[in-house]
Amino acid sequence: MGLSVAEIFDHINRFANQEVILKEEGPDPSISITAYEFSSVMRYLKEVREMDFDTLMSQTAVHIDDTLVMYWHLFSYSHRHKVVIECALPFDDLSIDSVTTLWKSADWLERETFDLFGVDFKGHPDLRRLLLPEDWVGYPLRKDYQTPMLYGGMDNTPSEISQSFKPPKKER
Amino acid sequence: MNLLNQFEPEGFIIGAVDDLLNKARANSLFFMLFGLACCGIEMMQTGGPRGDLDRFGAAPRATPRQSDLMIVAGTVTLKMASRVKLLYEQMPDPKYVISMGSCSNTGGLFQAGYSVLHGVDRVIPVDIYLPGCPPRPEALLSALIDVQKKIKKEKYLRKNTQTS
Ligand code: SF4
Repeated sequence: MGLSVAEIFDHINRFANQEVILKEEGPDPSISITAYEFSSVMRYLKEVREMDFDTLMSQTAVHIDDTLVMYWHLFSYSHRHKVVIECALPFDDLSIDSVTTLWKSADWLERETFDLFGVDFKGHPDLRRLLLPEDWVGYPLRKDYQTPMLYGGMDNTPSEISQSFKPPKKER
Repeated sequence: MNLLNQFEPEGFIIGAVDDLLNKARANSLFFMLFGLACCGIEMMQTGGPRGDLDRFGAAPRATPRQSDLMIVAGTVTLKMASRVKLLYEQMPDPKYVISMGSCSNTGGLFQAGYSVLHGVDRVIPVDIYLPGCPPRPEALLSALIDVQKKIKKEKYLRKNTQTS
């Protein structure tokens, strides 16, 4: 059997120069690394024998307060272990290295994250919108996104009755 | 009434051309195969042996140029809306539209989303609104019969009549 997340954390911690944090709460424990060391840590996870993460299962992001937290779910078929790597990006510099050279499956996953959050993946071969139309304005999964009332000449203001179904806005 | 074998040889029927035309049109409604979301599954079910849409003369067509009825079955996203309009414009007159399910009526349960059109009637004219999420095959059949009723009331050959 493969390594536990704590053991993988030890490996990364020994390899990395900057701060690495193990977050054990929640169903999927995650390892938080800095954007500066991101690509070298990812290469380490892919290429070192004890790690051998050959699969990128998922890549996504969450907008929490004023940072965008990015997630990479990695799995190793040879060792049967998996890990979640996270990396927080500030909103004034939303860019990170692309991992398409390490995992081919990152291609569309990164395009989707670009589409919905506007993250610039440096080194991505073809960074275009994946799901939304090309002429879409804005990044819908950011918390401050305003739904457009007009798109391509189509009036999309919600009808009066639909407003009454909506729950009242929560105080934050 | 079954008219088969009821006539003398060389017999004939007298009727209004309008009626004849309407009967023919109402009973050969070719609809466009147009499933956009889960309602599309229910539309396929309606075409299956239990619903059997074909017994009303309605047959699915894969191209808008051969169809007279568009069943908008499912969630119309903003990206799809312009395509829906284009497909509608490619259909030859007279044409009819059934908006099937809450999603295409009003946006349904996705109407708070950023990508969903609040009702397909914002881009194309709709003849029959069919509520439900999803509507049962029986409901779609009744919507089809409503379209047939509407067609039978029309006087398509007269001047200054509305066609759709
Ligand atoms: S109305 Fe319901 S069943 Fe139909 S497309 Fe919308 S969600 Fe799906």
